Amino acid sequence: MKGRNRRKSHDQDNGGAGCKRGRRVLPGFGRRGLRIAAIAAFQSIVLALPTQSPAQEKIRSLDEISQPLMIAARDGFIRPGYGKLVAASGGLKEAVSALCNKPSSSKLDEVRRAYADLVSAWGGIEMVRFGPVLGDNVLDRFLFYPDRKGRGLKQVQRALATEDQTVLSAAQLAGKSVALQGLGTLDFILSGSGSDDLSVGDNSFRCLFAGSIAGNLQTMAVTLEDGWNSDAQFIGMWSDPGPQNTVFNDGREAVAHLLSTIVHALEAVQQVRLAAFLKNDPAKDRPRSAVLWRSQNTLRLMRANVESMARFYDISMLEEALPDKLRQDVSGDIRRQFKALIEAMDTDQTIAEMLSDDAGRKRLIEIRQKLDALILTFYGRFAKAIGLRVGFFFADGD
Amino acid sequence: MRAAGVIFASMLAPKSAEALSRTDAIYASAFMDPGGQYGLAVLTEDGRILWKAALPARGHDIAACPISGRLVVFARRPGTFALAVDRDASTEPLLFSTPQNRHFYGHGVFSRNGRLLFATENDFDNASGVIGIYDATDRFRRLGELSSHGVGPHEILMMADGKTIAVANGGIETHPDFGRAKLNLADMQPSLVLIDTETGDLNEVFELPKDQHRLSIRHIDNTTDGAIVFGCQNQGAITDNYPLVGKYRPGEGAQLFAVPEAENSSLRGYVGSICASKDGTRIAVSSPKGNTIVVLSAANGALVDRYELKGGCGLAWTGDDFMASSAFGHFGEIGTFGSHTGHPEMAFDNHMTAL
Repeated sequence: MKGRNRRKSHDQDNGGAGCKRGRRVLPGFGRRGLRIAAIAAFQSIVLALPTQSPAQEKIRSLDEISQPLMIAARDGFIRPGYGKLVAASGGLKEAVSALCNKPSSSKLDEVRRAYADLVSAWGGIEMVRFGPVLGDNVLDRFLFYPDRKGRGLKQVQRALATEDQTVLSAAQLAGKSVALQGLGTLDFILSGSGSDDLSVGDNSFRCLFAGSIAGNLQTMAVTLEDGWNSDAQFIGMWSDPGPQNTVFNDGREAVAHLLSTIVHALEAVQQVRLAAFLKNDPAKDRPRSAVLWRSQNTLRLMRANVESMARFYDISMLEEALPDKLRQDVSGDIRRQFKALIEAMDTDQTIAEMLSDDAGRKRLIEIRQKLDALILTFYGRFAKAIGLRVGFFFADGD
Repeated sequence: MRAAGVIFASMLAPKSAEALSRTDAIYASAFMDPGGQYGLAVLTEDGRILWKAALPARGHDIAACPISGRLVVFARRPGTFALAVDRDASTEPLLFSTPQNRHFYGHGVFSRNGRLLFATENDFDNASGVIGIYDATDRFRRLGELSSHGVGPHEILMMADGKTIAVANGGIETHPDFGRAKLNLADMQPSLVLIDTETGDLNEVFELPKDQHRLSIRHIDNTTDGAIVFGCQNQGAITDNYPLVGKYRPGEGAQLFAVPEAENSSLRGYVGSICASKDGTRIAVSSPKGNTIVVLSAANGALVDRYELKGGCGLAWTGDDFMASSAFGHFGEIGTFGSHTGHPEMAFDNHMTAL
């Protein structure tokens, strides 16, 4: 190993792979600067790398188009999404308040509808797993799932049984277990055993607990909306990829991040939501492991997830990253796949009904297959077309 | 465990055998080929491949027996297979697996006498980490297990006394039912522990400050002065720029290295591998997410060098410098990537072991 120049920088191309060789970077003299921020769980699973010479040209274009894409995603999807979450959580809070003050079956129905609206609003923005939502465990506090040990259920049952007054304050609730304060707990309170009692008895403990959760969720929603509107450091990081940026050092990384946001979200629906109850062996299906199964909002949430991904794809203008000659083909295929997937999720059956019915189960398997196909389209055709290579290390940390 | 698909060159080609006899240092790494097939490769220090073996699925790290030189490559989590093979590929490989309700985390270590193999595993139904114990003298029959005294044990080391193991408990709960999804980010509790292999007792435990509980301690290495260096992966917020590298000295405690902000940022919250030089002077830390390898002083963490290597992660000590590999086929002494041919058709996995 003697005689090698260990201090020389190398920029020569690797002819075989088209990858730039490693090189030493003297502190302070990096070509694109060295200010690359620590990046956490949201880091792209897609490693932006040139694979062929034409991709080199495309990477330059990604640098050019990335900023408008990021801004479009922020202004057209993320901010409005959190705005809807604020509105939906506020609507639920009002509906619960009305129910507690003057309980009735119709008011309970209104609360359940408002809750379903909030589930849809959360499903519409849940794919955003970066930024303020990672602070203070908001992601888990809003919806803790999967709860393998049933911690949430145990805690909510205990709180109801003992009428624990500390859960009636939204502020105090915010400091309690993540499993106790979000949609999962609300699902039990509004639709679990004993929930019909909500329609009788003024200001019952159960109803006030629901109100506390709704208030806590609204506080979180407002925090998220504010974060995306007023956190200058974060907004600047998001909106302006480039050498000065501590996270998105160039356009490739920014576009790769947008793409990985969709792919991660699709994988989450498939591996966490669907796989929780749909097993290869029907005898092992677990309808009561489905997210929000008590309120029968499982598919509502999953459909909202997928619809939001389709919307994110359109609003962020990701297709602009595709070469002209492939745009119509690849993007058209993606839209067709999204549409078919959303249609497959459009059913009035509950998860339990679908799993116990041949046609329903077949539909769930079809949903799984369509998720598979869409993930493959993004991983393969889309990423390849824009000169990104799926990173070998990036599925997540190991 | 299905053994089908494991293809193996049981006899080295004459040229490879000659190279093996002449070379001072050889290295082993898991890899993926262009067709998406996974394997184990053994290479010389100048990057020549001596032999390759196919794996049923993606591998991760390789443990080398200090007595026989036999290698064991472990499946990447949540895989359940491990493949044992001789250093010179002279005998048939042996495929073995975890018991039901366990899976490997990709790392293991042999006992000093080579008789036992310790592997980090997941008792996923109980959300707890265990150290599987395998009999290397009896076709890697599983003898039992110890608690890892944490969740999500990852890299494991044998300490100098030959009876204590160090384990990096990443703190992240996973379950095969949910793929590789992380199930407990809100309350994860990573730790670095020292365990007595004879009794299973927890001798020492190090935990990060509470506000840094989302730093998953994943990778560790022994230093020549009896300490352990460790590297973390941040599961927290984007704007966190916590120190990711530190040094733990048994009986004394830990020191987090104050890596300069720019270099710390270049790791992007993700240490993929860590390697302490055997001359006791330096530590190499790789981040394939940041396409960066940082070299630090082993004494105080002061920055020595920084290198760019796309997808660079595997690290080993050559005897006088660090060897590095990448997901894009780079394989060579650190700082020589530009002059090295490498194997662009191969994606080397996260770890490299010097044999």
